[in-house]
Amino acid sequence: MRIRVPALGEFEQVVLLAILRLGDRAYGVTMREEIRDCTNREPTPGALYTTLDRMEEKGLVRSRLGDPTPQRGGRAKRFFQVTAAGVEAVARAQRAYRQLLRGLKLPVVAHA
Amino acid sequence: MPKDRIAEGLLVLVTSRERAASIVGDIMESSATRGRVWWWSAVLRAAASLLWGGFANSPLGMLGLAFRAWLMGLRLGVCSIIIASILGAALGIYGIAQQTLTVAVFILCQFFVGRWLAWRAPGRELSAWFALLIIGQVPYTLPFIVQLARGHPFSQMWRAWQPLD
Repeated sequence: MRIRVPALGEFEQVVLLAILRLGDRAYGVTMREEIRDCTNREPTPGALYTTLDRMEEKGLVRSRLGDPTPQRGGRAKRFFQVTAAGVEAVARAQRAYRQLLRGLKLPVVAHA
Repeated sequence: MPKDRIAEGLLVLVTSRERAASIVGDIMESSATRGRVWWWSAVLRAAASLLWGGFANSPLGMLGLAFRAWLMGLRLGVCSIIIASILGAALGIYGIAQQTLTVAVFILCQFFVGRWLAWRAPGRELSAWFALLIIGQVPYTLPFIVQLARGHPFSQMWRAWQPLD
């Protein structure tokens, strides 16, 4: 069955890649830390949660609640996982970037 | 009341209960080494983003819902005047007392409109209220805009406020 893949914004790609990097440890706090460590930009909680809600509505990610922990006042963590449509969307976006970079001699990319 | 309960109560107005709880949990976890200002800043920014997100993710659906609520409020408003008049006449209440009765019935009707809207937009109650606020202003602002476009004296007043080229 062919998966319908929506176009991604820049921050959506960043969030999807962070979830993929974190695997089954991906929830709000770890995602913000991963994004901060990789991009040197710390997203605001509001921006992250609205993006996650939007991507869940688009079917790019799915979420499940973990067990409540005392450190969080007995509140559960909401863990995220990238769906097949999400993987396809981020792969397509990255292919587009590579096409655009092909033939360009950018020093940062050359050393990456 | 503990600050986490207040924050959760605030976030429940803009997202579902489970999501509000997990967001407050995340903020609690991140705020271990940060102060009270950071806590409230994070909560308020999350609430503002979710409020706007709830509206911006489906603006037409939200405005349609708000329009239906506005029409319902209009109908109930007319009904409240009729009911208050009938009740006033039946109970022999006139003047200020009748006006108070009308306002009380009107507020009760608006309460039902609010309940209906909250029932139709679970987890996005505040976004729906925001949309109703926008829709509710249209009947007042639209004639003003039309008058401006037609070159009404309002527009001359407006031009008078503009800086000279």
